[in-house]
Amino acid sequence: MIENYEVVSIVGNAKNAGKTTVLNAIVENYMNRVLAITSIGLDGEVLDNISLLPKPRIFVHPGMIVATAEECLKVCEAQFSIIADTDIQTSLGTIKIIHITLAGYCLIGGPSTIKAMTRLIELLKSMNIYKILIDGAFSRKTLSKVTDACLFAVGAVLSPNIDDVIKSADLTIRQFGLPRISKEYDYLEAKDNVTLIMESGNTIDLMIDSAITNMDMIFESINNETRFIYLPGSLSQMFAKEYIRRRKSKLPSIILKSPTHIVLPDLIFSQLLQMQTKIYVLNTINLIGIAYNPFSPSGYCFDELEFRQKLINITDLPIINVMHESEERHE
Amino acid sequence: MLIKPYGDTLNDGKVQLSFTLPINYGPIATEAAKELAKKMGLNDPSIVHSESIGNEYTFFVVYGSTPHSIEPNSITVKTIDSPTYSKEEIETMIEEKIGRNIIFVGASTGTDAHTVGIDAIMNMKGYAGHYGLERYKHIQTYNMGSQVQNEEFIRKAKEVKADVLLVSQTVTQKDIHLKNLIELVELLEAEGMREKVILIVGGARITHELAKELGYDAGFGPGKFAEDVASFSVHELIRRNRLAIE
Repeated sequence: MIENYEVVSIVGNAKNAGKTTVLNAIVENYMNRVLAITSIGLDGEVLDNISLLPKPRIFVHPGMIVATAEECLKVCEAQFSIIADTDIQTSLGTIKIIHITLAGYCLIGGPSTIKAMTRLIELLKSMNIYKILIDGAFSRKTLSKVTDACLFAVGAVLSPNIDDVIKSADLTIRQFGLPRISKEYDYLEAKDNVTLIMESGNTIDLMIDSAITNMDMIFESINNETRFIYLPGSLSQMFAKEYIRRRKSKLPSIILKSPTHIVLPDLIFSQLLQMQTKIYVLNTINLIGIAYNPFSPSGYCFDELEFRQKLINITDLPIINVMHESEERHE
Repeated sequence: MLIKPYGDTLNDGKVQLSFTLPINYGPIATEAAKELAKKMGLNDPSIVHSESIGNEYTFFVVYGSTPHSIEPNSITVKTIDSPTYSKEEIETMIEEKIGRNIIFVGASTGTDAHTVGIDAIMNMKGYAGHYGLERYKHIQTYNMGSQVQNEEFIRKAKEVKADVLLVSQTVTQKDIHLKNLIELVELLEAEGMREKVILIVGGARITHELAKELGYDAGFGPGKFAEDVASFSVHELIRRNRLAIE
C-alpha cells in the first residue's frame, strides 16, 4: 500500500486506535530496508500514560534509523549508536538520530510540532533512507500535511457504538478528501490575511490574519457578491457556528490552506457538510488507506465483518484489519 | 533494590483498598468483595469493614498484600532537568538576556472549572510561600480564569503577543480534557502560532511524558511552583533566541 511513497504518516481517530500496531506491521514488512521511524507523540511505552493499560511496543531491526528524544533512549532495549544530534527540543529532551545495531524494543518520541517535524524529515531525507514512517498522536491530524501519504487508523476505542465510530471516520475521510481549488487561486498561498474574492474577480484583503481575531468584521464584510473567502489560519468553531447560523443567506465558498486547517468537533463539521458548504484547499492530503481495529482496550469489541462492511460503505480506499496485519507478521 | 508496600513489616506488600459494590449488605456481599480483591491479584484479602450505604449498595474496606514489587532504579523517563532559579535570579536573567518583558497568558480551558492550579502559579500571592508570576518584575501576566474556550484563549494570545501559554487541565479518565488539549495544539498549528509560543500544560495528573505525547513543550504536575514554570520558560526563550541568531 505504501510502496510508492517516501514519507508516510499514520494518524488515528483516537488514542489507542491501533496506530502503533500498523507501524509495527510496516516495520516487519520492510525488515531489511533502511527505514527511519519517528513519532509526533510518544510511542512504545510499556504502559499507557493515562489508563496504565499495556500497549503495543515498537520493535526495530538492525540498520534502521530512529529519531527520538534523549530521555527515551534511557529505556531503549534495542542496541544503537547515536549518529546525529539535532537542536529540536521536546519535553523529554532534544531529538537524537540513532542507528539500530541490535534488534529490540524502542521508545519513540520525536518532534512535537509540525515545523520541527518538517525540519527532521528534510534531515532524514539527506541520509539515504528508503522510507520515513511517522506515527501520530491521539487524534492529531495536522501531521498528515507534511507527508507524501497518510494511513488512517480507525479504532473501536472511540465509542462503543459502531455507528458513531463509522460516522466520525466518514467525516475524517471527507475532510482529508477535500478538493483542491483550481490553480488560478494559487496566489493565495502567499497571502497572510483573510481575503475575500468577489464574483468580479476582485480581491479584498481584510487585514486580519485569522477568523479567530475578529469574526464579526469578516461576516460584516461578506455580501452577495462574495464568491470565496480565504482563511489562512484555521476554520474553527466560532466561525463555523456563525456560518451555519447564516445558512439562509448566500454564503461564499471557503478556501483553506489544507484539510487539517479545519479544527472542528464532528457535529459542527457534519452540519457544514449537510448544508452543502463548498470547502476547497490549496494543499490536498494523500489518504491512501484505512486500518481498522475492532478491539478497544477499554473492554469491548465490534463484529469484524460488520465493521469492515460499514467502512467499505463509506470509502473506496483499501481497508485492512490492524490485527490481521500483525498476525500475518508472526506466521 | 526491589521495594513493596510497607504494612507491619518491611516489604510485606500490605495495601488498603476501598470500593462500593451494587449489592445488598450481607454475607454474599462480603464474599463478593473478597473474590474481587483476589481477582485484582491481592493475596490474603480480608474485609475489615463493610456497611450498607443505602438500598442495594455496600461499601467495603479491604486489606491484602500485593505480590508485585518495583525497582525504583529502573524508572528512568521522568522529567527534563531544566534548572530552577529563584524569583530574583529569573528577574535578572530576563533583564540581562532577554531585555524586555515576558508575556504569559494562562487559563483553565474548555469545560474545566478549576482555577486553583492556574491561580497558584499566576496570582500575586502564589501558593505555599512561593509567589506567583504576577509578582515577578519583567513578567506580564494575563490570567483568564476558568472555562475559557480555546479560541478565546488564542485570540488573547494573539492580541497581547504572548510568549508563553499556560493551560491548566484536570486530566481525568474521561477523555474530554485530553480532547481539549489536543484541539488547542491543532488550532495553534493551523493558526501558524505553534512555534511562536512556549506551550505549557499543568495539572494534577500531568507529566513531561504526557506533555510529549500531547505535543506540549512541557508538563508540570503537583509540587511545582511559579519559579519552576518561569525558570523553564526563560531558559527556553533564551535557547530559542540563541537558535534564531545562529
